[in-house]
Amino acid sequence: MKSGAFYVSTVGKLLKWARANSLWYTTTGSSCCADEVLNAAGSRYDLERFGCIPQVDPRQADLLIVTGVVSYKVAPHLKAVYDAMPSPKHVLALGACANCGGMFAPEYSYSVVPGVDRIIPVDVYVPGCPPRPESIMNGLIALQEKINGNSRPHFKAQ
Amino acid sequence: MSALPPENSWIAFLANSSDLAAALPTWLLAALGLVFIYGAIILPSGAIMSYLDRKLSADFQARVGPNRAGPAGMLQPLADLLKLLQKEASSAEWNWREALWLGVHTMALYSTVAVIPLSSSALLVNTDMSAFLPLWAALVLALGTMLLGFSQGSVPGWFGGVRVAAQALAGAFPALIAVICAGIHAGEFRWSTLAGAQTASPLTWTALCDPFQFIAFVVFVLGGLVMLAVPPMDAALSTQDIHGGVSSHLFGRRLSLFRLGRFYGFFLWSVIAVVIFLGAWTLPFGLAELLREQGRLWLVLALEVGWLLAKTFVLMLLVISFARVSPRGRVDQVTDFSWKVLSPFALLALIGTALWSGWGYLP
Amino acid sequence: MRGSVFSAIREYLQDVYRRFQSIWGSLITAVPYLWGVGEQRKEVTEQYPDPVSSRTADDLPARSRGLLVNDIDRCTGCKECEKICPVQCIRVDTEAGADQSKLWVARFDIDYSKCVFCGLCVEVCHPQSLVHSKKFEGSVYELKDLVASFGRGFVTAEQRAKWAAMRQQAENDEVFP
Repeated sequence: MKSGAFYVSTVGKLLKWARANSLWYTTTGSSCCADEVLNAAGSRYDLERFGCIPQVDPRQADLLIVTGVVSYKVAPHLKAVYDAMPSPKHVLALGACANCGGMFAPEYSYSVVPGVDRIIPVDVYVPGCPPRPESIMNGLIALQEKINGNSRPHFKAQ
Repeated sequence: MSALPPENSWIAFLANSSDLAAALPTWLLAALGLVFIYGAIILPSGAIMSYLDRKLSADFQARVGPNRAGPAGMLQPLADLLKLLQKEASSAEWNWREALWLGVHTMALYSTVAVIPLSSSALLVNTDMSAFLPLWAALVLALGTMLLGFSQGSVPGWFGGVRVAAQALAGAFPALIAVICAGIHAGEFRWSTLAGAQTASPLTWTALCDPFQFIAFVVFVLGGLVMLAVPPMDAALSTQDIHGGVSSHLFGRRLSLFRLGRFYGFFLWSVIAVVIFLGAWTLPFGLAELLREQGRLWLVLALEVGWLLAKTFVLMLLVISFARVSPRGRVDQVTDFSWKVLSPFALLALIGTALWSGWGYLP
Repeated sequence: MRGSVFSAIREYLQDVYRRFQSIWGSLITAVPYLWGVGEQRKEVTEQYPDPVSSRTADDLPARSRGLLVNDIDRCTGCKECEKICPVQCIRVDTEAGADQSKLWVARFDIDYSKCVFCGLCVEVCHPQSLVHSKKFEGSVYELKDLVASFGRGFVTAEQRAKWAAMRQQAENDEVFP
């Protein structure tokens, strides 16, 4: 009992901290949001401050940043990328297209998946078209807080 | 050949330190010592160098680098390691061939912990050929890495494996010649002799005592980069054209093992470069003799290891900054460079060293 | 000497020298960045969550398009924004209000997950109640949290009866002062 509590409280926290502070990411760059991810990774808004390193291979990534339109044709491949990532894995949906189809929603286009959460589970949604780099970092911090199990003030626009 | 010099080795230190240690068999003491060296020197060095590497490349790009994990981001390597250890593979991805060859690769690598020279009293294997052991280990490592790549059954694995082997072959020749140059200067390939040929003064360091030795030093360091596929000569593991090569299939624990192994190869090579070319562990101001007279052998050991590691870190930082400002070479450029530039200069250094050292003996 | 073995060796040595010169040059170029010497070589990173070194919402340009906000007190419920929205992210429902010449905006929902921040709705808004704020941080864990509601809510039957009574009262007061 006692040792279990110790594990959950201390070691578990340490492991969660490690997961939250070393989110190596891979991104499906197919849109203008991908440019903002590049911006965020560049010198001006340095994503590496958070321990995020871009990875070429989904096997070595912990975070999948989905940017841009996901068409029905590309959906199986996105699912394959997600499946190739070893757990624990996280997904950040970036921008209107990834959130819900955006301006390519089913009302306008026959070929676009209305939101990436129809295919893979999404941890954090970031609004914007495209979001500012600060907004991407805000989503990243939200994800870190989610991994750490901290409570977060509810989002309010007003 | 005496594998364990009785009075001067750290085994004797350990055996004399307590009754319990004296009761243990020598092989167990040696194994414990190696585990201690790995855990207390190599792993922390890996963490420090990974942090400094990231901060240095961040500085070169006018950005900050990791600064959110711990004070000034200093716990970033720990976070990365703990995260990699937590990754889980699904059972469908379990590849026993990969595990086997990763094991061979890792064993070939860490067998060199036994020959790594860290101080005048921390020499486990000090034979008349011990300076060549890292070279053979590096070749076995290349073989293990190549077969590791083949076992993955993927295009990056195949190409990466072949490239690793090609680079190791290309780099081994000039590096070998460079070691021979230093051996000609010192007279023998024993660690203690190679280090004993130099004193604390930089002018007596092998690399700086004559121009041919300096060429040999540069060739040795660059040949090591080619041989072990360390940036910027890491075409075998490049992410752009072959998707990370052998490392593309590895993740989680296997990736951490692989990356640590790559770091260890680089670290070993730098330590050896410092030992045979840059003055080894000889402490300045006659400190070693002074402390030995006072009987503080442990302090001498610690100071010598610290001084050697300090020089090693400087050399590694120099190589890393060289890597961060130069583009990564293509694999044909790297092997070309090794065969067509490093090898002729290595031979030049060999001839020059032979003449320089043998001048007095010539008729 | 051209074409002889000596010129070949000379070219080879020149080539090697040039390579090492180039690497040395790039090393020297990079060194001042270590200490940030000079105006061009300082760190340019904005450390985002830190309000001192990063730009906050107030530092953004005047016409930057952040999340939409609606001042419901000025909104007339004309639904121009709903009509022009290219992604149908705005949904407006109106009813007759207390004063029957005005509309009661019962529902004014903006779905930020769909919004593409084009600014068309702001341009057509006559009372200028719908504006872009400078807020841009809106990360959520659930997609439904991205819907912002600005409406006043649907009118209940009691409220409607009360309003009718008030109107009747006002009418009576006007006719027989």
